[in-house]
Amino acid sequence: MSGEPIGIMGVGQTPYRRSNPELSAGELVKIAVDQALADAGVGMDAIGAVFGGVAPDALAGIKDIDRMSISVPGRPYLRFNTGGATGASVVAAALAWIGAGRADTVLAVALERMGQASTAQAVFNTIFDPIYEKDFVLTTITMAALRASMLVKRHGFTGQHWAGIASRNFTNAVDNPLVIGARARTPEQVLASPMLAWPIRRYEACPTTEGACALVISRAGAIPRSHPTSWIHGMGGSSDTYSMGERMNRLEGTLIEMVPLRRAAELAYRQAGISDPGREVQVFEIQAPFSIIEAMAYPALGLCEVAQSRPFVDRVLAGETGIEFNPSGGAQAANPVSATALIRIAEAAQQVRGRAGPHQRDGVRRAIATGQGGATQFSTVCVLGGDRP
Amino acid sequence: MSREGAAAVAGVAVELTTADRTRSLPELIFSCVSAALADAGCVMADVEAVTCACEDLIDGRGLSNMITGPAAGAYLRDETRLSEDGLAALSLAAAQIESGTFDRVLVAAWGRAAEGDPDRISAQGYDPFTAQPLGLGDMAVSALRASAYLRRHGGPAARHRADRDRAVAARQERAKRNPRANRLPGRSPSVPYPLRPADLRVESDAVAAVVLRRAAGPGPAGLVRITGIGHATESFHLGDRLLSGLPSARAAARHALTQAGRGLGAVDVVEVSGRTVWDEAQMVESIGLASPGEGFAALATDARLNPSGGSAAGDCEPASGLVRFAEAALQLAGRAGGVQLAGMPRVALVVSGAALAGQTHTAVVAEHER
Amino acid sequence: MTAPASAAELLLLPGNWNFDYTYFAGETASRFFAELRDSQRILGRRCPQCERLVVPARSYCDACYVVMGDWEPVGTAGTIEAFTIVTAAFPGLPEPPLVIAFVTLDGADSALLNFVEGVDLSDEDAAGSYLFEHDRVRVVFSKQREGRITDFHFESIPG
Repeated sequence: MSGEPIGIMGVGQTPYRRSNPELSAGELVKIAVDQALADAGVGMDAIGAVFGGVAPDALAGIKDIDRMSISVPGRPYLRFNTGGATGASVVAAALAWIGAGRADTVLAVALERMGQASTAQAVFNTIFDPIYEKDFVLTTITMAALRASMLVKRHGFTGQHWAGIASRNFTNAVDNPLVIGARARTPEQVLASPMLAWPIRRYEACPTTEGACALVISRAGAIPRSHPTSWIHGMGGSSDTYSMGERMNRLEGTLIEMVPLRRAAELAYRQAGISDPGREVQVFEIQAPFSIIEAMAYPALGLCEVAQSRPFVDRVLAGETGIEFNPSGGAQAANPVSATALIRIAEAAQQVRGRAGPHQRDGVRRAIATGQGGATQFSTVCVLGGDRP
Repeated sequence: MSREGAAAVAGVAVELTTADRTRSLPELIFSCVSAALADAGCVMADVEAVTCACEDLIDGRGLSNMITGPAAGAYLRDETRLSEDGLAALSLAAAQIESGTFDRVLVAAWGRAAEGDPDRISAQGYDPFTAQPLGLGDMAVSALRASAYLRRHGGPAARHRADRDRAVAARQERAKRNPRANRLPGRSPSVPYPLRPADLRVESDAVAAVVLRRAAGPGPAGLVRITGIGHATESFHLGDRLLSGLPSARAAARHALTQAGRGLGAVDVVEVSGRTVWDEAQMVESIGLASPGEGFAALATDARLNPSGGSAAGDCEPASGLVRFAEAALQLAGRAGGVQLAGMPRVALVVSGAALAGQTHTAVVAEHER
Repeated sequence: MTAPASAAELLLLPGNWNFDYTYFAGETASRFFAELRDSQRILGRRCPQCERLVVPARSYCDACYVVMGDWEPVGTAGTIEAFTIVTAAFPGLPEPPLVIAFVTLDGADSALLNFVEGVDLSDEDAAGSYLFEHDRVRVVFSKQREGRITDFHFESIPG
């Protein structure tokens, strides 16, 4: 990336749990924001702009809930909404804002309040095309299951693979004190859970989760030399068309090759000077609410060839790759939809800064966070590093 | 911001219609964005990023830009979507260019009033405990502000009625001359006192698109550059801000003008958003283009102010601010047609408020190189 | 200083969103659905630039960003690209178990989503294996048609 380096100097996260009836949305946000400011060693007066991320309004049941809970009078404020990728869009915009010289420091905040929705799945049903799909209800789960069938047919994946990935994520979450109610699950337990839409089982699908996350993002000149900082080495984004039917077998790649994620990765890697991500990056926080999304992400992120997808997953499950995936537990363990992509960046940043606590991994010099929104449409890749570029 | 790094307008398009059954919402967007690309003399393949503004509840789609984003060109392309007024999206796109992230960005904003009920939808943004139970929505807030304005400037007396009537007539007359105005009447909602039907915007199916590009070095004659941008935010709580005018409009405009190095006296054309003529009058006063109490008179007699006819030519959130910007850009380029101001306008100021009756405002100064 | 509210006093306000919308389908989608109802034909449109025949018919090509060209019918048989067996009840769907699949009908360059019938669903894994082995389906139109995507479904072709 050209221009003055930009880094994350403060991180704040609330615990992630099903609902928070004792807190208003603003109080939930304040927990994360206060933590991030304290971590950054700055007050609100240092903040030049506040960017808020909230995805579908319908999940919280309050239109523009961000305006009452995130916006700060006297500061420029923008609200972002790219579904599950919202948090990453907030960060990408902060980079542009700071790079354009409009502020030295931006506060990036994402809030999920879906604990207020009694019928979250019904809300998710409204994301689909009302004209062509009015009488044919797709769901996020059936969308994932449809892809799974292609993975089974073309690459020979089995239920064991999905269960293995899920098991690893849930087990990692036990070391993340922010995932309330985290419980390790064996692959057998995952496989024994009820089927939702074949072959996706209940224990592969993420739970309803609320929470807030905040980052303090600054240009290098506004960060004290000795302050633990995660520098942004690269940021790429690419969005795709909606129709899954039109993405089945097009020239750019099949539906299961996650073409926009691949493109976002290429952009970010080029900026970061990465040519061999499997060797140059120690931690991947992949936004994957379902195991199969994670399995498709590996080749898209350049960790293996598409044709080698299944053998690579075998190696991942055997712990042979030398790469740490989702030390936080990832989106399968906790998925506060609006905040998930920001949390992946936050967790990757904490790994690089050595501040990930019980789930800190050793020797993390570079980490990658991905974001995913819509029907695997909005795709983002963020490369974070401990070295100032 | 250096002149070389600034963002410049390569093309604009506006479509204001009502309930055109031949086209779906994505098709309306495709049509307007295609027109903007044609205006810019480029194709979608030349665009690196799409930065758009739309609202899920207005579009009636739980995550609208899954389906509407690709209609604006988000096909294997960077996409940022704001749930904000369209002018805020333009501001962000300018930052994307100024920072060197992209060289060419397509900005789009839309709101199709005929598919839903924007006022009822707006009500969902207000505090569910203290405001929604009282039926508060954007229209009601316009009415409350209007009554506060009357109270401040002499009650429901006849004095202002004459000025208001002239302002309403002026808006309608300009809208008639505006080739881009919405020709079909929309819904006629019930109108809370002291508003009258003629005061309201013409509710429309609105789409606006602007192609922004990097303007490196001195440009060819006819280049419209963005030279100043301002943003300001007020408290969410209506009680804290209802009666104080529009301080965030004032602050945003001041910031944008300061950045552009211009005073109000240098501004040749102004486009401001406003759900009703009352809102436009208060906007004009807040910015300092009219003295307190003189907003209606200014709208009627100062030809610089909303030459497009403002929201009387057609409007729907969140496209409002981008529609206003497109009109201003056309004025600077001498291409506004029947509403073109004489005398080669050079500096434009655009100010627009976002959700919750303008809790935030964005202001943009654009200038024509001559 | 007053004591904080006890858990019993925490206010929970019930809410319900109920918005009505009228979605404009536009000419192209309207004709697509009318053809299902009146002619029992599935029509796509071909992009003049990339030459893909896209179903359901759309008015512009996302990839090329140009207006679509000619209308053409697609075949009445096709191949399953992806499927799932829905076993949990979801709001808006018929009673499970049921199969949905994306099918590329012969001649089309994009796949179409609909229900698949004619599959024994008493054992999911066996059904899954069956669908992997037997990926050809034919289109069957309903006797009562309303101009909706559910005017037809797919039937598995055994053997």
